Order: sequence, then C-alpha cells, then structure tokens
Amino acid sequence: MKKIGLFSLICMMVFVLAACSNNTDGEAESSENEKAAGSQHQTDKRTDAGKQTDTQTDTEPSSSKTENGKTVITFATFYENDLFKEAKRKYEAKHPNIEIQLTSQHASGMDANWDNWETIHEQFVKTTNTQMLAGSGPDVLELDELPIGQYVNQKVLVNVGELMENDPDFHKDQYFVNILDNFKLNDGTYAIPLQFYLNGFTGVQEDIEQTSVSFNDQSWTWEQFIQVSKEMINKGDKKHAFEAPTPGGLLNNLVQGRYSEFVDEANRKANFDSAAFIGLMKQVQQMLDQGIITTEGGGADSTYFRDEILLSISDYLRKQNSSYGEKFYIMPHAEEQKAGGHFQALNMIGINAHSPVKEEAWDFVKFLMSEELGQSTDTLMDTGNQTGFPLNRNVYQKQAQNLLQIGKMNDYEGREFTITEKDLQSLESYLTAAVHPIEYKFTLIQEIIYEESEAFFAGQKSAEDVAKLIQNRVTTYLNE
Amino acid sequence: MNGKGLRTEWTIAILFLAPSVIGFALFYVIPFTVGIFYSMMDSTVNGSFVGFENYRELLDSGSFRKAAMNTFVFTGVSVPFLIILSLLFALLLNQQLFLRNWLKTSFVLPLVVPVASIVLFWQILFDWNGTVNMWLQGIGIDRIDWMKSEWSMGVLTLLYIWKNIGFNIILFLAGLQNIPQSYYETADIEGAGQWHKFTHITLVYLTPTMFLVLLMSIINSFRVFRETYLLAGDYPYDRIYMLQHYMNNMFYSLDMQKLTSAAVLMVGGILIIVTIMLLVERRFRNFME
Repeated sequence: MKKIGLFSLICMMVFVLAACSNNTDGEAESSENEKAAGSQHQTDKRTDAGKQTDTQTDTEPSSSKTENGKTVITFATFYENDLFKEAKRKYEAKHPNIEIQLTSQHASGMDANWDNWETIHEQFVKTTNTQMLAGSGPDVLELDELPIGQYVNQKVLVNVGELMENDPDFHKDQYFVNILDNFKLNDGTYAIPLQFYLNGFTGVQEDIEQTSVSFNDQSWTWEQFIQVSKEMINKGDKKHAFEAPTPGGLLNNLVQGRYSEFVDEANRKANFDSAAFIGLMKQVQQMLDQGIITTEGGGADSTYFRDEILLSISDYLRKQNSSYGEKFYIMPHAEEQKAGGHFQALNMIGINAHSPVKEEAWDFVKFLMSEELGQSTDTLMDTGNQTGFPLNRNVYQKQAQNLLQIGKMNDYEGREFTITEKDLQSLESYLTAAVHPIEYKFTLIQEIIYEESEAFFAGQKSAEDVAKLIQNRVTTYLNE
Repeated sequence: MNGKGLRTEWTIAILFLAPSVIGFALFYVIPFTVGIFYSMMDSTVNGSFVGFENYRELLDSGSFRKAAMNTFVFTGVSVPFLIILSLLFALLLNQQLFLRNWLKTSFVLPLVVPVASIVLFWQILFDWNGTVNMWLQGIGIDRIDWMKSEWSMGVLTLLYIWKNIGFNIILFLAGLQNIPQSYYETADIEGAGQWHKFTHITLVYLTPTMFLVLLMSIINSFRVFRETYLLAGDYPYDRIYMLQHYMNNMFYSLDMQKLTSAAVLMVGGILIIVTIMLLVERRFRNFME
C-alpha cells in the first residue's frame, strides 16, 4: 500500500515537472493549435494544388497576433541586409498599425567576423527547421540558406504562385516573368527571388570569331559545346577551349544534361553502372588529356571560354568594355531542357504556411518586390557589394537610366569608357532569356558523383569501379 | 518506530532519485512517447491519424530493409566473435602471467581514447590511399578499397572488437574470480581433464556473467554507428549502411514520419531480444538454484 502510494507520487512529480517546463511552449502551442484549427481551412485550400480560386473568403481577422495594438510580422533572415532594414522602415511608416520584427544571425560584408559562421549557420538552419515543422516559425523568411525543397514536401510554405494569380493588385508584367515562371518546385512557386545573378560564359570575341567555327550560344547543348570546343582547338591558336575548375564539376553538368537517363526517381532506380555513364567519365578524361579543358586558371590568353557570373549592371558594363574585348555568352544547356540562359536566385522570400498573419505577410512581400523599395544604384556605397539584377523591371530600368545619365564609368582596370544604349539593350536581352535556375549548393547525388569521380580523374581507380560505387551509394539514397 | 524510519528512508531515496528520473523522463521517455504518436500521424502539425500507414511505407523502403539487414548481420557476426575472443583473453589473464598488469591496461586503453582520435587513426590506416594499402603494395598485393567494398564490414568488426574487448575482459575476469577454487580442486581429485573442467565448471558458473556480457555487447554493437558515421559520412557503401544512418538521413530530410516509425521498430526489436534473454536467464538461474 505504501509502495503504491510512493510510486504514484514519483510518477506525478515527473509529469508535473515535465509539464511545467513545457508550459511556455505548451501555451504557444495550444494557441497555435487554435489559430491553426481556424486557419486549417485556409491552409488546406492554399496548399491544394491549383484548386484555390478565391482569396477573398479568407477573411479571418488578423489581429490574432498583436503587440501594443499593432499586428506583428516576424521576418527572419540569415545575413544582415540593408535592403531589408530599409524595407522595414518604409513599410512601417506607410502602415503604422504593422510592426515588422526583423531578425538576422550573421553580419555580411568584408569586415564581418566569419570565424563562427559554421556554428551559427547550423544552428539557424536547425532551429528554423524545427520551428517550421512544429507549426510555428517566422511569418516571412529569407530562404537562401534553408532547405526549400524539404519545406515544400512538408507543406510549410505558402504557394505564393497562387497568391500572385489571384491577387488583382499584383501585376506580373512589372517583373522579369522568365525568372518568376521558372523558379518553380512541384509546379508551384514557393520562393520569390528578389534579385538574381546571371551565369554564363565569357570569351574574347575576336579570338573566337577568328576560328570561324560557327555556333549559336542562344541554343547550344553541352554535347554541341564539346564539338565546338574540339573544332576551335583544331583551328585556332589557343591551347584550351574551356576552363573547368574541376573535372567533377563538368561531369556533373553533363550528367544534369541527361538526368532522366541516369536517375529514375519515380521508380527509385539509378543507372550509373552503365556504358553511358562510363562513357561520359571517359569523355571528360579525354577532354582533359587532349587539353580541350584545363583545370589551371590560364585566363583569357589560353582558353576560349571561361565561367562567368554577372553580378549587376555595372559589373556587366565593366566586363563588356574591358581591354580584353570579352563578350558574354550563354552557357550550354542540358539536352533535355529548353534553350535559354541561367540565373542564380538571391534573397528568396517565402511565407510560412502556418503564419497567423498571411494576408499582411503577402502585402509586405509585395512591398519588398515593388519599385518603392528598389534601389536606384546597383552597387551599395558603403560595402561595394553588388546587388544583383532586380526582379522588378521598373527598378532595373531606373538603374539603367541612372547609369546612362552618368555616362562614363571606370572598368576593373581603371580605364574609363562610355556607357551606351546598345550595351544596355544587349544586357536586357540576356536577362529576359534566363530560364534555368542554378543552385550553388550541390545536391546529394552531385556530391556523390563529385566525391567518387575524384579518384578516377586522379588516375587511381578505373571508370568501371567508380561507376559501381556511385551506383551503390545513389541507390541507397533513392531507396530511402 | 519501524514505520517512521522507513518513511524517512523512502523520502531520502526519492530525493536522490528525482533528478535522474526527471532527466530520463524529459529527454527519453516523453520524447519517445510523443514520437510513437507522431509515427501514427501523417504530419507533425495538424496531422491526421493514419494508423500503420507510415510503417507500411517504411517497410516498403528498400534502404530501410537493407539497413535493418546490415545491422542484424553486423550484430550477429561481431558479437559472438567478441565474446569468444574476450573469454579466451580473460582465461589467459586469469593465470599467473608475465606482464599481466601491463596487458590488462593495454586492453582497456581503447575505451578511453576519444572518438575523434580513433576515427582519424582508422582513416589513415584504411583509406584508399592509406597505410594498410601501402603495406599491401609493398608486398605486391593489389590495393583493396577497404571502406568502399564488402571489406568495410570487416573493418567495422575489427574496430568494434578492438574497442570493446577490454570491457568484456574485465567482466569475465570478475566472473572467473568468483568461481571458488575448491570446485577445480575437487575436479582435479576426481581426475577430470582440462576440457571437462572448462565446460562443466567454468562455463556453467560463468553463465550469469555471460548473459551480462552478451547484453552489453549487443548494446555496444549499436554504438559503433558513431565511428562509422565519422569515418564514412551520411551515405556510406551499402554494406555498412545501418539503421541509425537511415534515421539520421530521415531527420535531415525532415521526414519525421519515417524517422519515428523506424525508431519505434528498432526499440521494439531490441526490447524483444532483451526480454527473451532475460527470460532465458531467469529460467537458468532457477535451474541453478
């Protein structure tokens, strides 16, 4: 009798203490559950694929998240960004009943302290992931450092594509439609890039034209590019056609080109232990041996084409008018994809699907995209950082006009040159042709290919062995 | 008078136990229970009850089955090896031997070496460009890709045995020293041979210790994941892809349903094994007494 009493006392103590420590979370969770229950209806509608027709019925009062009578929107970013700080100021001035809580984890720029980057980064990603999965988390997020694909799978991001379609105040033609339309996942837009860089090749125009090898950089594929490179080497004086920082990287690009041949995600099969893949590896090795590609940075003198990334309008103008006479070319695209250029998204903004203030959040995101915020110059005065090309076409026009008015500029070697309308027009044609988003983070399969092929390119393992290893590891991943 | 004394004793006992029990409940019991609930729902937020759907998906997954098979094979192969080896060494060390203390220390040392050092050293030894391959080339044999072929299981077994043999030797030595010498003397008088003495005295009276060692070894075989992960990363060669790799990867892909179902299955499996072992042990003990 005594023992039973004492045991139940112990159990009660355990539960009470556990409950008490969870109290703050518990309260937040129970109130989240209430809001979630109310907005469950909305959430289901929003994340339903393409069935949403009317946002007007989602008129749940947004005052469920107020402090001092103001509606609060939490906006989480990783890097400090003056653009966002300015956005917060301007938006709060325009809407006095809204308060934006902007948080950042790490300073940006050259003078920041980068020692603890990894720890801070890991903590940020883990905390945000947990919060999003638990149904809380910030209302608006900067998704650059976060796993967007996984968030979409777990349905914690709002399909802003649908919001864009159904909002009469949103005018798609104000923006670079090619960027917006092509930044999709599972046929929905879950992240909006506020800026983007342009990826491509650069090469000395005169030398390239001298070889009189014809090609169309608007539509060439990787296979065609390899052909062109071979012909250029044969006909011209330069030693190499292309500078590939790593053969593994080039191999990855070629695999991307025929992705469905090697990876069948629906049936969870990989096909790397095949003649096709071994052939690709040997092809890259051959190109290395024949000198078509080089891993040493020879610069414009020894290679026809090099990787290039355009960071802003000024960046483009400086590179176009440099003494090398280089021209920007569009990168080859994968066999299976449509023709067009490549871009890298920056400052991607997403809205939390479990946010209690989705309406206000969407309004704020629209403000972020609008020209009220857009900067008139594309290089930040204080840090000298390039800002990328703005998503908003009107902002882009403002920046371009500004530069035209200034008229002259110094290139990267200090030489002055005139800014012409022609230059700006050709840039615009490149911007509107960009349709393929590039991830600067490797996907897992790319990492596996990269790691294992290193041994092959160093001449230590045979192509067949490496292919088997890649097949083995990728199959494990696909079958999970 | 007795009652009052007992009550104070119980209170003191509870007070001492409380921190440990609270910690255990907070960090193990409660999260695991919540995990069991999550494994029956289709989402961690506003999920709906889906019963065993997650388990069905889990068993469908080829990688999960492979991980379970690998874990089973690894435990099934390395634990008997370890027990036999540690028993042999314990028997050796139980006799008067030259350098006995030094030997005992050297067996126990692997337990105190930090994991990072172990991993570093093992990597240098068994990498494709590592020391062992260099020796092999020196004597004219082709290089073996230790960590990326079927040999990887062998490397792990070696690591496991090397790390845990000291602990088991200590346990066996304690067990051996508990057997009264008089039994051996009686057996000598009766004219029993070495083998007879071994099987009918030593093994029989070691059985309780044997159960303990078996249990600890099985648990330690799951612990080898730490070294494996540090050596081979998230997606190692599929021979050493274990259950914990699977669960770790599910955690990183935020797939909480598969993660919790896999954890529940794994705990269930271990519970069954341990329960069977304890039942057999109790039977044996009753038989002994």
